[in-house]
Amino acid sequence: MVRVAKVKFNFKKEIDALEALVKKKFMDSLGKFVAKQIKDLSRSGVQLKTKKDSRDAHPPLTEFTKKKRAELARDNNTHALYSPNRSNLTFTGQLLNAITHAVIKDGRVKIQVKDSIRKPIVDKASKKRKTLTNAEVQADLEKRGRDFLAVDDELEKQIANRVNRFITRELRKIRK
Amino acid sequence: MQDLFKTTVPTDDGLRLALGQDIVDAIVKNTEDKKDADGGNLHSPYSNEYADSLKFKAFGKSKSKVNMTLTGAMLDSVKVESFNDDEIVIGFDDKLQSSKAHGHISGAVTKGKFKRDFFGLPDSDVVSIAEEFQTQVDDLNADEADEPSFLELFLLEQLRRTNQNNPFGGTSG
Repeated sequence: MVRVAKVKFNFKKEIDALEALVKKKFMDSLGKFVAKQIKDLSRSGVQLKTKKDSRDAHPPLTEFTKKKRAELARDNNTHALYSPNRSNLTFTGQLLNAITHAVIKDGRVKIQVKDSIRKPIVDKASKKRKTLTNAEVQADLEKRGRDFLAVDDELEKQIANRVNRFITRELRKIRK
Repeated sequence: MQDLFKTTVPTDDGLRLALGQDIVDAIVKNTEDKKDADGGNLHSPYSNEYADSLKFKAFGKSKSKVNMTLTGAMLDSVKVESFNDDEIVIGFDDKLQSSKAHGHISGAVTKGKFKRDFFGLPDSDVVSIAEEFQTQVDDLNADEADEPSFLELFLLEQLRRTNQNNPFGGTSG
């Protein structure tokens, strides 16, 4: 009769501990990092596009838009990195400053623009200027081909590297 | 490797990879603390031209805080590239980040005026890291080591996958 030895490895303790750590501690900081990257890159003039492997500048502004921005700037508080001719999704700074993150129930992270009422833009040339929400501004920009809420190949690689480093570091602590 | 541990280091992939990963973490932390490979301070401040750039301002950088980080992509790409019985090679995830780093380490970015060699650690730091692995080395030599840990198996698998997917490899520091 042949007896077959049974060997069991039980990693449940490590896996449970790791899962709790990843969900609670790490996902939040990772979400914060990605939200900041999207905001800062957009403000620097880079247009992020999903799964793209190179980074291009935002499409240039039309002459009409440049003129309008310069006109509106006279009566509004503009962001430090606003410039009338600069295509970086920045006038008062409200839109990009509203990019935020949320850790969702099943361990995923959502990056989104917080949909809040914006401080109205004073436009003396227009009597009927409607105050838009951030969501409305975002939708309008995307309709015009000015997408910005995306993770491209380079950012995805950065995220993967950070996840790797985090897991490695925490696993070493567990096993010590 | 033998100089570091004062004994023969057994052929164990998990050990070498874990040691290499600790060195990677230490290099990144050292750089984030504005230190160079010798433990001194990285050359400061950033140039006026760089500090006046839109990207520098958009990322909220400070001229005096020289930590080799704008988007963070370069430091995030530092990795264990390979290892054998005698050495562990630390490199970069892709060619672009490797080239960027080389420019700083060699001084090419400043046309030879100064270097920012962040890619390394003072000897004392490397010795400290190795000391944390001494027990594991001794256990392996005495054949008293446990089965490969979950960490080691995970790391080995990650390294295999990374080297499979990435044709660039990068250069060692």
